[in-house]
Amino acid sequence: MADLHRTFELRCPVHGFIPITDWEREIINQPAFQRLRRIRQLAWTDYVYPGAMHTRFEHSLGVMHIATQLFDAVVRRSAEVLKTELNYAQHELDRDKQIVRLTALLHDTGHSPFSHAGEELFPVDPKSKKYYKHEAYSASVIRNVLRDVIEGHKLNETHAIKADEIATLLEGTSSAVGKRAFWRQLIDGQMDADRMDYLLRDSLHTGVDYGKYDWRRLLNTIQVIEMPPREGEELAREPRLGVTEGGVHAAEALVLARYYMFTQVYFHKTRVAYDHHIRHALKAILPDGMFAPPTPDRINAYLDWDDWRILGRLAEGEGGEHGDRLRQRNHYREVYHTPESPNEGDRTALNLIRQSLQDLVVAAEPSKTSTYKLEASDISVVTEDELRKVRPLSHYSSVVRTLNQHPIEIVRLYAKPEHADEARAKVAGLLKDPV
Amino acid sequence: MTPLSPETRIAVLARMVKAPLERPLGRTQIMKLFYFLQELKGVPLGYDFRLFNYGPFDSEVLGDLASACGLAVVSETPVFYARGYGYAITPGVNAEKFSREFEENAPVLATQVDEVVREFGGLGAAELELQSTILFVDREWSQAGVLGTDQTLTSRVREIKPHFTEDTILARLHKMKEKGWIESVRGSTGSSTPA
Repeated sequence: MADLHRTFELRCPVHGFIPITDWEREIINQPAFQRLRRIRQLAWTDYVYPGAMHTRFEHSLGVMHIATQLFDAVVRRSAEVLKTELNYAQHELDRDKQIVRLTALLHDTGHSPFSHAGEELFPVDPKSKKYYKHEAYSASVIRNVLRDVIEGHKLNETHAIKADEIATLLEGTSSAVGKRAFWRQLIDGQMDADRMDYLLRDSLHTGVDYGKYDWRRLLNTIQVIEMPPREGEELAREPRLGVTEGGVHAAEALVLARYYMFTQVYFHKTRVAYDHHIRHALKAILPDGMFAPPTPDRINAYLDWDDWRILGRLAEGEGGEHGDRLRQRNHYREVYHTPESPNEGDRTALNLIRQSLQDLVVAAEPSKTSTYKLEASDISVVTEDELRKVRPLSHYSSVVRTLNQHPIEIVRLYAKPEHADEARAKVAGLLKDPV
Repeated sequence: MTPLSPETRIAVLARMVKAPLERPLGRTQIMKLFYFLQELKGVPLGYDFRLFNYGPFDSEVLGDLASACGLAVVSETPVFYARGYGYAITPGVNAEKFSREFEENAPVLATQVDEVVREFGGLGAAELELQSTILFVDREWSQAGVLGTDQTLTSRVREIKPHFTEDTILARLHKMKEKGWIESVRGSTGSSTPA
């Protein structure tokens, strides 16, 4: 009889060996999870950085691994606070750790082909009137496709974890109630496992060093920070995750890694052009130009779409003009971009350039609406003396302070290759005379 | 409905910080004002609020706040108190211009912003956390077709925010019901009606 408690190990290029249980192995073996082997992490980025061929499959394993390390570090360093402030008993911690592991493992199961490039083709949720996000698809996969394997495994007999508990922790709905909501910070927060893994992994595979930071030092300094009440308020604010002063530079490096990776990889001019082409080629290929909604009756139809299927359709000549451009490596060319953090004058110049170029501009891609956008970061830092004062990272780091004050909001303008020289010449003419 | 452009959201922010309030707004207050504006006034801001530490949260709001700082529409200064910190968000040199143009171009929306600031702008972070969490649960239930009672909604909010007493939550719920903001609970108490 197979040993249910046997641990398996998967080799990861970033973390070495990642241990998994028989239960997790069975989940990983499901077609809905194996599909992630056929969804590239960075879409068409290999046309800029040839090594960027990695997939959501290895990233998902990495996120589970980092989430576990973070969870253990927080429990190790803040055991007392977790018991007194959040009323945690050991068996509850064990259970929530498993829920966090599975949430991290499954957080990307709802990704569309070519990762974020396809997200603009999600339909509108008739209830909320907003576009679905990929988390809604992941939650649907967890509830409707993986429920049996999650809930029915022998190893779940002790914890009796429900698929809904994993889905709601991922979604951030009110059902992820009480103290467990605290752990959402490991799934979606300033120092979440997703971000910590993709920076390291994307850096490794693209061959750049920009995404590297001392994540072990973060593990060594992360802890629960109690936020005292502010003047005039009775209630203390809820505890949050932060670092001790010793972790300031590791946290600063994490923020800088995001900045560098965003400007050098995620919002690279050619990469952005390819995302544009994939988005439009997908629109031409998909029935009615959009993906199926993440409803119980349609989620399997959605899962049928992966990179392989799209590549097959592209290879057969589908995808319209943008399919042609992908096949022929004939992408739009950037003809102008604003500074990273444009001021009012830069924005005026951009408007003038757009008006002047008119139809020569076939795509305008602002980083602000990009899925890979860079948000302001402010990680809480607690002093290591008796006072235990809580301060934002920007209080210690002038670099982070400056980045927060000057958000990255590049806008890139593109022309067809055959019109690029003409457009660039017009831009040069306009910029000769300061606006 | 097409969501408002980021530029319009920044103009909304200008309008908020220009309002005559006793104390400068903080990040939590800005977050909740946007939440109420979207949910109570139906303004299509395009934010996707999730439940986080201090109630409904969307990092996009902080992104817009950073953009507004970059454009000198607002100025954000950390405020340190005994052991913690917060932020004071005050008008920047371009706030007046953005606010005035906003009022000229979108007078109805400007009035809606004023109403929300008048209603909630003077409240502390804890009070906003409570009211926005009540509204968040209410809207989730409403969208799911769930009809609750005072007691069931109060219990759910208490599970999420155990540092508020049941009496406090119930009192706030009653107040919000009187104002006609609650969709998933009808009447005063009554029994639960299944969806």
